Amino acid sequence: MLAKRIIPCLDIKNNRVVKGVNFNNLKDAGHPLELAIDYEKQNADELVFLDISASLENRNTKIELAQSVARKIFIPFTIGGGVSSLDSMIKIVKAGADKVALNSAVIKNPDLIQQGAKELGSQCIVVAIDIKKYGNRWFVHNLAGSEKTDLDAFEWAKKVADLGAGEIILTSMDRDGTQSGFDLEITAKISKTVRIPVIASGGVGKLSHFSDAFKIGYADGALAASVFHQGIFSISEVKKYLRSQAIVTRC
Amino acid sequence: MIAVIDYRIGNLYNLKNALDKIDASSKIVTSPKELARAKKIIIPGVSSFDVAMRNFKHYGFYEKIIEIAHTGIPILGVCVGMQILFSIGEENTTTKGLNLIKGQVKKFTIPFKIPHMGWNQLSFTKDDNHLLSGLENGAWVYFVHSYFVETSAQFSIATTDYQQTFCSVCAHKNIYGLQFHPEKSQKNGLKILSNFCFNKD
Repeated sequence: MLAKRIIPCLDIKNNRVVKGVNFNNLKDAGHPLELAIDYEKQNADELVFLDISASLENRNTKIELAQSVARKIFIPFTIGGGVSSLDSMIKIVKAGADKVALNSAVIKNPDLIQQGAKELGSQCIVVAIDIKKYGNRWFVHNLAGSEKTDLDAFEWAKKVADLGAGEIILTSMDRDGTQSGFDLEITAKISKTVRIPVIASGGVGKLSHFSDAFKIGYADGALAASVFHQGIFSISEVKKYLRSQAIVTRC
Repeated sequence: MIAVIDYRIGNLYNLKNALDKIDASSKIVTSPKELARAKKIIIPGVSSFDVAMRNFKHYGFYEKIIEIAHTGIPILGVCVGMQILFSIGEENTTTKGLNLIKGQVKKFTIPFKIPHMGWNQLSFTKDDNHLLSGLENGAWVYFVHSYFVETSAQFSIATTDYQQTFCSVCAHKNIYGLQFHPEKSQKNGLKILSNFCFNKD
């Protein structure tokens, strides 16, 4: 049976891993290569590398650093941040990415999803969606969360899946870094509707939050940063706990 | 030297990186001429069956690989590279494969999410094949595919379940195939690549 995936995320700024709360107050969390190697050892199922300030600084992803990580790990690797053209997607794949994460650029130009899927295959195209709840609705934010858009999160998720995205990373900005648990309601709503994997992101603080992501949020994977960077628990511990909850994970 | 065939589909960087990691002497080859010195051959593939076959022919590998296959040189197909070892594929349009093993490549028609993407387990159906030596039954490997191989049980050495059971590792004489990505399957994948590269056959 297909395992539920546990995915540590490396948010990168100035060549360091950083982590904040609600996308703000970024603090240093370590060296990207050292953390990546350590997470692979802990049995991470995949690794995500996001150059979080690239779009804001209007530049492309820092390829060299991502490439040095890709060379050292033998699990699926997603690279994103500032990816704004088919050319930059191809460059990222050549640097060793198995998947390219798209965010701000596809909000401006959704056709990029189709172009990427056609050239590289849907399995390679991940759309990262940063969302915030306003009343009873969730809206998409872009440029590292700094700007609210008019896109409804649920409609946008359906659209990116229709355009050929192979996976969605759904990050709740309200929960990011707060360790108060994933936003399960919108995660479940999207995951039950689209026919591509949905990765829950933002808010893990307790082991039970991981099992909630799968049992209540219907997610295919759970992404976390703070709890792993701070060593609150190891990936192996999370998996052991999930198995005790009858959730299939890779040993 | 282990030749990794580059027929301009997908990225070979990660596979080459994994072969370097296990210290296998390998070379990415872009024309059939370069296969003359190959002791073993790997056919990678991230694409669709029809595009893979089209490119395989376009770059002149089709006849050459069939000829080499009959000399007994070990050949390992990975993902779509495994699928094209079989007789026929139905992705986009019906396309003939290399027909080195009898079987067909079909689309999953299950109510699960497609592609079958993520970590899943190998269930060994034969215990004596060197390709899986050192791995435990139930070993986890990483898959990304929407089509699967339907073949006779005699050619299947491991299967995997995703609502339905399909052939995830095949072997027939000197021809081998892996439906998953060994280069992304951490230690299990590196072990399988070592078994292929360093087996004295």
